[in-house]
Amino acid sequence: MALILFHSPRGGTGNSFLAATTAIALSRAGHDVTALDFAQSGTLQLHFGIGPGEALPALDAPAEEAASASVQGVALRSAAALARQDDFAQGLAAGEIGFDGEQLFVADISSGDQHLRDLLLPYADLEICPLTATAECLMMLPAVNDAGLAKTRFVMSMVEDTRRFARHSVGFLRELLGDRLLGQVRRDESVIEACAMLQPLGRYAPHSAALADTIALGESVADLLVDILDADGGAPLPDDTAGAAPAGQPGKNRAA
Amino acid sequence: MRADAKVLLERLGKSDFRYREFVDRFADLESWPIFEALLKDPRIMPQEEVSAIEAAEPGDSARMPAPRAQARAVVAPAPAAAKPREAEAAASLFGRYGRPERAQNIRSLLQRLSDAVEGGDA
Repeated sequence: MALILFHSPRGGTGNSFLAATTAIALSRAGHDVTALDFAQSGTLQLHFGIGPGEALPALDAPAEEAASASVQGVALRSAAALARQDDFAQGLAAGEIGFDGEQLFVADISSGDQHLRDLLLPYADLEICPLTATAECLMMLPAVNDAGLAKTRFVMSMVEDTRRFARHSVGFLRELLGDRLLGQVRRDESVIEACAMLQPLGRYAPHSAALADTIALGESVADLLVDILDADGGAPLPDDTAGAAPAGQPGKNRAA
Repeated sequence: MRADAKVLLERLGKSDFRYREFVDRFADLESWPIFEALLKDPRIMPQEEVSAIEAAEPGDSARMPAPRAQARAVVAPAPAAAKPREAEAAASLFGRYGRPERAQNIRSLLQRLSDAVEGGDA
């Protein structure tokens, strides 16, 4: 159905957390979601409550092997090894690795992996770029623009609204980016604690401020996807896809 | 009322608090030099729009050079010869200040940045 990239020009912006919680929110909204971990560090699974001792099935793993890796309705796959194969770019170009099935793919890409982001962007329907209220992060903003922003939306992450510069940064970016700023997610110690407890945030801290913010973000992304896919004449959305394949079920290509 | 504040008051069993949310209006933003550096980066905002905004208020031009601010700019100016596609992207995507109220906002911010530099506050 669609590929959504999560990539920030700066590390430590909560990229994996936002990818995970958005995937869960989209699943709850009725989408058939697969979360793809493109990062070699493999920390995405922590936000689903899966510890470092368990390896996610590869994106191109057989269906029966991948079937068990599903948390809160989201199928989890590792794509880090596949993306580093010599023929990955060719596979994308040839359609052997495609994202046009009935599933919605949410991809977590490391901040340092700009090459992979640039490689996947043409195949993505949407890119979400988390920013934090630090000068170090804001000064990366012009670099994001270098590749074009037609598909890019921004999220202010780890916002502490008791902090002056954080509030001013949100106000500044709201003026600068307008509708391209999808929202903000507050800094919340519960996120760190949930990871340490190997539990999804929704289970560990159901009243978490960050969780409430990410649910709102997920709703914004879901609304945005409706507009994008409608404009593209894409696949029908959940209301029309009651018979969609279960999450993680392989489709007709290597990725789906 | 924000959801977290509402939940907290419900848990405390309190309903008689006066609730006020503090939101910084754009006009109240302080003159952080990083904001100025970003606004003066042609990849963020086409410089012809900055020039047009500055020209709209002649009084600003005397204050805008702000050599100290330029010397302290965090972001170095981008290469002048940007690729056409990049320049187009910047103009159409980040260059949102063609609308009157946004032009007014950025004019106001640039003026306050300049005033702060002149006054030695920045």
